[in-house]
Amino acid sequence: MSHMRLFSGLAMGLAIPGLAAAQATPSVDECLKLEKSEARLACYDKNHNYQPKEAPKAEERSPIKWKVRDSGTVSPIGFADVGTKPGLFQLGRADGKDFTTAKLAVIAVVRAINQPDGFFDGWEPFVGASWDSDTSAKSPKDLWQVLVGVSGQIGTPGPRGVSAFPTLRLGYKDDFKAHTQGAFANLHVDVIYLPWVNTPEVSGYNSWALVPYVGLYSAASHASPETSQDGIYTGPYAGAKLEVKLGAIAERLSLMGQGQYYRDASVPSGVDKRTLQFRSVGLKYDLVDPKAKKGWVPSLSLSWQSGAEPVTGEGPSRKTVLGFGVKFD
Amino acid sequence: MPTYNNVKNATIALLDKYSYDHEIVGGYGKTASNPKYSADTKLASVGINAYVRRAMMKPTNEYMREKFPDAWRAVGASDLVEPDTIGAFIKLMCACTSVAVPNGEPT
Repeated sequence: MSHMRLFSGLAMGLAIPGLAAAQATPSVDECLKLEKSEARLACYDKNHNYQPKEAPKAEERSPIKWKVRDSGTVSPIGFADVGTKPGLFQLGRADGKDFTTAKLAVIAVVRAINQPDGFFDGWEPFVGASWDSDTSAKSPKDLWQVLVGVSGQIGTPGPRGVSAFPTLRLGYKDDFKAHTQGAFANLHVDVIYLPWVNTPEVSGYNSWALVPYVGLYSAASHASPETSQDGIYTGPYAGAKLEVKLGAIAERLSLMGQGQYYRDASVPSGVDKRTLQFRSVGLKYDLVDPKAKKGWVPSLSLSWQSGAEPVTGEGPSRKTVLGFGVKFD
Repeated sequence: MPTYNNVKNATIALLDKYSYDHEIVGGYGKTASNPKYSADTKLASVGINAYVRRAMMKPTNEYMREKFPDAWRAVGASDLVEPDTIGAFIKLMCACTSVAVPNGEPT
C-alpha cells in the first residue's frame, strides 16, 4: 500500500511539471476554444512566445559633440558646418621640392544655448585644439592652437532670404618651428543668401553653393610667418567660397574654390601695412558616402593654392597638393 | 506634452516651407505603395542641403517654439546639418521636444 502511494506520488510529481508546461504554451486548438477575443489573442501570444517590445523613450541629446576637422576655425571659409573640411594629410610640391603637411583639429561643440526669444537662442559654444604641420621650405610650421568660441545666426530668413552667421573665436597659438607664439581673436561672418545655396542635389546633376564672408582678425606677436616684428596686427578681410558638387560627372566628387582679400588696419609702429590675397581651387572625392553614415569619412583631394591667408595661416607660397582627408562626426 | 504626430506634422510643414519647388505636405506618404516623399527622402534632393539647414537654425527654433512652447529646447546649426533625410530630421525634432519616436517610425 505504501508502495502504491509512493508510486502515485511520483506519478503526480512527474505529471505536475508536464501540466505546468502545457499551461505555459497552450496549443492553437486550445486558443481557438476561447470565446473572448482578448483572451484568444493573449493565448496566441503565449503560443508564439511573443515578447512585447519595450515602450520607446525620447532620445537624450548629448551635451557635447566631438568633431575631427582640418582646423579649429569654425566655418571660416563659407562651409556649412563647424569646419566642414576634413582633417588633412597632404603630399605636395612647391618650387620644385616635395613636402608634407598635416592639419588636424579636435573640436567639442556644446549643446545649443536654450534662450527662448533671446538673441543667443540656438547659438553653439565650442572649444578646440588643432595641429598644423608643414615641411615645405618656404612656409615651414609646427603650429599648435587652443581656442574657445561661439557660433550663431543673426536674422530669420524666409525660404528666399538672407542671414548672417557670426563666429567669434579667441585662442592662443604656438609655432615650435618658427618659435613664435601669441594670442589671437577672430570675428568671422558668413553670409548665406538661400537662392545661392539651395540648388537641389539630384543624382546625375551638378549643384552649387556660393557663400561670401567678411571678418576681422587680430593676432599678437609675430603669430603669422609673414609678419616681421612683434606687436599686434589687426585687419579686416572679405572673401567668398564656392562649392560645386559634380554629380553629373561622379557622385561624391566636388570642386571647391576660394578667394580672399586681407588688409592690415593696424600694425606695430615702423611696419608697413600688408595686403594679403589668397586663392585656391581643389577637387575632392569622398571614399564613402558621407551622407550615408556617421563616423569616419575618408577622402582624396587635389588642390592648388597661392598667396597668404592669415586667418587659417595658409601660405605664403604657391602650392599643389595631393591629400588624404579624414572627417569624423 | 506634444504627441509624436504633432511633431512629425509640424516638421513636414517646416520642411515644405524651405524646400525648393516641392509640395512636401501634399505628397508625403502618398501614395502609400510609392510615396512621392517619405522618411527616406534625401533633404538635399528637395533643396534642403547642409547650407539651407544651417540657415534654418533661427527659423526652426522660432517655429517649433511657437508650436510647442513648453517642450521645445533649442537646436543648433551643427545639429541641423547632420540629418540628411526627412526621417532623420523628424527624429531630431522629436529629440528637441523630448518626444519618443514610436517603434517603426518615422515612415
